Order: sequence, then structure tokens, then C-alpha cells
Amino acid sequence: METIQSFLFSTFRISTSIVFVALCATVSHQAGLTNMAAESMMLTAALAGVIGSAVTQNLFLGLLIGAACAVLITLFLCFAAFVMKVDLYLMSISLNMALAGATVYVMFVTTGQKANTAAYFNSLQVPAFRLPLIEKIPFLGPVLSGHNGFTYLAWLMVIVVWFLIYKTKFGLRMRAVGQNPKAAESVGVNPRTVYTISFMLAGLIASLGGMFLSMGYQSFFIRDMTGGKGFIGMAAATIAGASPLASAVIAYIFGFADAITNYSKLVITDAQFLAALPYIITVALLLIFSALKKKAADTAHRKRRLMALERGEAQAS
Amino acid sequence: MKKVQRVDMLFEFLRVFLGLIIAYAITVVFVMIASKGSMADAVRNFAIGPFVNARRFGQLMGKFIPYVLMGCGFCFIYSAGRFSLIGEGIVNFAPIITCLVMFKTNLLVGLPLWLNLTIMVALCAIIGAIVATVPAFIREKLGQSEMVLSIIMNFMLLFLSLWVLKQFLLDRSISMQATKMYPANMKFYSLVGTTNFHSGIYVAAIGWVIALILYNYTKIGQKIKTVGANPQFALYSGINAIAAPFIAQMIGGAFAGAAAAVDAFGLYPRYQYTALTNIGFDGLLVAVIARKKPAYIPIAAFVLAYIRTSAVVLNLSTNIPVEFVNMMQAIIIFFVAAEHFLSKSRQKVIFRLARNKEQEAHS
Repeated sequence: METIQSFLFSTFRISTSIVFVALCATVSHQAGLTNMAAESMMLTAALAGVIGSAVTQNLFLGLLIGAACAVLITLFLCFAAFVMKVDLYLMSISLNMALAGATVYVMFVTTGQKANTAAYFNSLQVPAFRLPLIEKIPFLGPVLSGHNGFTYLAWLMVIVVWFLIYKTKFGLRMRAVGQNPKAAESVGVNPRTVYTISFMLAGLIASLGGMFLSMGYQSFFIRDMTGGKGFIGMAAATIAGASPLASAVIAYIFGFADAITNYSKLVITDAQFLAALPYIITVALLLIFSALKKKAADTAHRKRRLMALERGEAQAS
Repeated sequence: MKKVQRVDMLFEFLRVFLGLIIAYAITVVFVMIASKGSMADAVRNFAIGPFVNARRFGQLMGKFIPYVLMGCGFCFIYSAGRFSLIGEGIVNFAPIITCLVMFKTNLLVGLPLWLNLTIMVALCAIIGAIVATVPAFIREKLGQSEMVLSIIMNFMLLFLSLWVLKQFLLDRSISMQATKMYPANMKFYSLVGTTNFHSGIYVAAIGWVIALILYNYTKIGQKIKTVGANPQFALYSGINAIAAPFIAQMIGGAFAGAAAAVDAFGLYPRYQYTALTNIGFDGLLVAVIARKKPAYIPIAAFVLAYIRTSAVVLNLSTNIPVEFVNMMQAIIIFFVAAEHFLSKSRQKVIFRLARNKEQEAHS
């Protein structure tokens, strides 16, 4: 019982940054383009948040600085892709690469270290919260309560993103541009503005995922600390077809794979194989999910055609 | 050649050239900020460091060789409009499987060097092509992003390679994680003294020629280019829009495998990768600088190898982290791939040309 509880607890904890990235990808995906540079935004925010909170000794300011830096990166990406017309994916790949290097560079210039900032920045951490009433529920209480602030923020963010996409004016515009930019343009919506705003929102959400790593999960920045999490979240969003709720659920499934790895340390002692395990599971899940999705889409397509044929015959007779 | 075409080519060249210069200048500024000792020394090390002695130049050539092959491979993937970054993982994965054949079977024992090397490169290329089918499959058959899967797979391949290394091939007599030394008839030999400039350069040359022919003079090359340039048109003209990019990604994988072979069996005496090598991403950059044309790949590869070696030299002499060069790569891509960079002046020049011609025709 206790093991199951702590296992589920760690699933929620580990999944937090994946959920943020999945939501980030969802927002940009709804506008029709995928934000592949999430990894770079996470890294930037993770480092900037640590430095910001250490310098100002104010948690809120630290978070703000982290988020602002990530949004700045996003703005550069938008400028490159939408104004200078660089291929979006190409620029995203190179930004991921560049920020992985730049964070190490900034860390070196400010601390003289290349591995982590643990000994140099006395940065602040978002505290864990205990939920007053839920805590009392048998079994579920210990699973849901006592998480880091970011974890609850992720849950909240799922609702916020859902509301943004389906219940606001901007969300409607976003979906319109996502489905057909030309049609949206013909009724006076500027796709470029919509892309830019949705990318900035996406960058903001991704930055939270990054800051969870350095200011929630850990209390310092480690080089390359995202370790492909950005892409796992993105995979979750693409499988879920950019629905915020479904992306969050699939992000939790991927987090589950991570937690399984953590817990199988007791059974499998081979460190290398354990390190590979979450990625193997992710790749397998990704293949299975996309095959299922493809199959469902094919079936739906066939049904529609069949119906259309039947209708045609009925009209003819 | 028409005048307009010549102007187009000139601007294409200018864009790449200026992009490189600007990126270089920005990087030098970063070097100056990070240098703790003498600024001039740091900048000099960065600028001419790779050329001061034979050993360092060998280091440059050692990087150049895999870049040529990886760049050629990326020309195909990128031309088809795909971004499969699986090359990164193949660099780690293909050689370790080849090592299994090398150390655990008797297939290669006693064969002459050239035959062994041919078999090893071919084996790595085949493994690369097979691995590359996975992201290609998810893109072309299942309609998901090949880029996302390939990046996740890179991590998977890295740890799987480490697992194979530890489980089956580890040399327990040394402290680092590596295999035994490669036997003398199963590795590339150094061409100049004991430098890193090794005989893999022949593989790179052959690979380059194959890429040139495949890309410019064959049906499949033309199909790949057409699909990448205009998928709709390709579909209407009867090109299989699933098969062509699929094959492009497999060709890319095969070239990545060859690049892995020359890197793993040329630069090192044993298999000792414990992290991703970044050669895959660098290959993409090489292809971008060469504007997706295999003909220019050697020049682009040389430029990048020079920059990378400069960073290593700088790191050794001043402790500035090698990674800062990655920032430079983004700046290069930004300028080189930006269609709007210099586009106004290009238009102006072409416009003036056309007007002059018109006036000549009238008078």
C-alpha cells in the first residue's frame, strides 16, 4: 500500500515538467505550428530563474526573470521564423543546441563552473504545499497532497489552457489560424500576430517546466538538466492531437514510465539499462499510440466514405 | 548562364559568407568576455589555433572527415523537407554493434586491412539505414513528427550503446569505460605521423562522390528534391510522396553510419563514447551552410571543423567551455537560412538589371 502510494506520488512529481511542455506544445499546435524549441526555453528559464532568485532573494522575482528570459528566446525564434523567414524547425533545432551551450557558457562566466550552480548561487525553491481537506482522504490524500507548488500549477494550467483555447476570443482565432491561415487572414486575423502570441504563451508555459527542474525538483541548475524531457512532452501533445486534457493524461503516462524506472532500481541493478529504460518505453508508447491513432483515423475515414456512398445510392434510386 | 541567375548565385554566396563573418565576429566578442587572462591571446588562439602545428591541424582533419559524410547524408534528409536527427544516435550505436562483430566473432580476424575497413564501414552504414527507418516510418506511415521521435531515440541509442558496452565489451583492465584496443587490421591508420588525420579521408571522398552522383544524376535524387521543394507538385506528377522521403531518410542514416565508422575507428584506439557526440547536429549545420548541395559539402565541413577545433584549442588554453560554439552555430543558421536576409538588395539589383535590359531593347 505504502509503496503504491509513494509510487503514484512520484509519478505526479516526475511528470510535472512533461505536463508543462505538453501544454506548451498544445498551445502552439492549436495555432498550427509546433514549438520545437521548448527544450531551449526550459533550459533558459531554469538557469535564469536560479540566478534571478539568488540575486534578488525574492522567489517571485526569480520566477518572473526566468519566465521573461524564456519569452525573450521565443521572441527571437518568432522574429527568425516569421520575419526573417528561416525554416521554423531548423531554427528551433539550432536554438535548442545554442541554449544548451549558452547556459553552460553563462554558468561558466558567472560561477567559473561548467557542471552545476549548486555551490555558487544561494537560490530559492518553490515550497511544497499540503492540501488541507484532501489530505484527510484515505489512500488518495498522501498521493495528492504535499506536492511542490509547480505540480499544482501544472494541474491549474491544464484548466487555464483548456479555457484559453476553447472559451476565449483569442483561442478561437488561434484555432482558426491553425486550421486554415488563409481563411483566417481573409476575415482580418493576422496569422503572424496569432503565431507570435501563441508562441509567447507556449514559451511562458515551457519556462515553468524548466523552472520546476531547477527550483522545485532540485535547488540548483545542472547542465543539460532537461535531458530530452521537452521532446517527450511534445510527443505527448502530438499524440493527443493538441487537446490539453488528453496531452496532460499522456504526459502522465510518460511520467509513469519514468517512475517505473525509478522503482525498478530495486529489481534491475544494471545502471545503463535503467537509464535507457524510460526512453525505450517512451519510444514504444509513441509507436503504439500513433499506430492506434492512425488506425482510428483510417476507420473514421472509411466510415465517412461508406456513408457518403450509401447516401449517393439512396439519392440515385 | 543568365545575368539574373548569376546575381542570384552571388547573393546566395554573399548570404552564406556574411552570415559566417557576422557569426564569427559575435563569437569573438563572447570569447573576449569569457577570457580571464589576456584577451588578445584568447582571440589569437581562437583564430589561428588550429593551424599552428601539425597535431592541431590533424585534429581539424579528424573532425572534417565525419562531417563530410554526415553533411552529405543530411543533404538528402533536408532536401526531402524532413528533420530526422537520428544521425546523432547512430554515431554511438552503429560502431558498438560493429564492435560486437569485431570482438565477439571471428569474421574479421585474419582478413586484410582494406577488406576489414570496407566491411566495417558497410556494416555501420547498413545499421544506420535500418535505425533511420524507425523515425521515417513514424513520419511517413503514421503521420507523427520524425524529429521528436528521432531525438528521443538518440537518448535511447546512447544508453543502449553504453549498456552493450558495459555488458559485453568492457575492458576491465583500464579505469575508463571503453572496449579493448581495436586490432591493428581493424582501424584506420594515420596518414601524417601520429596526428588525427587518418585514412578515413578516402571513405569521405568516396562517400562524397556517391552523394554527388546520387543527388544530381539519379532518379531517386531528383524525386527527393522534388518532394522537398513542392510536395503537391510531386504528388501530381506521379512521384510516390511517401517512398521518396522514406528513402531519403534511409540514405541519411546510411551516411550517418559511415560517418560513425570513420569517427569511431579513425580517431580513437578503442570504443569510448560515453555521451552524445554532437556530430549529428553538426552534420545538419554543414548541410545548411552548403545550401543542401553536396558539391559544397567539403567546404562547409572544413569551415565547421575549423570552428570546432578552434573551440577545443581555446578550451585547452583558457578553460572557456567548448559549448559556447553552439551559440555560434545558431547565429550561422539564422543568417544563412534566413530567406529575407539581403533579399531587398537582391531584388533591387535584379530590378535594375531588368530595367537596363528593357531600356536597351527600346533604344
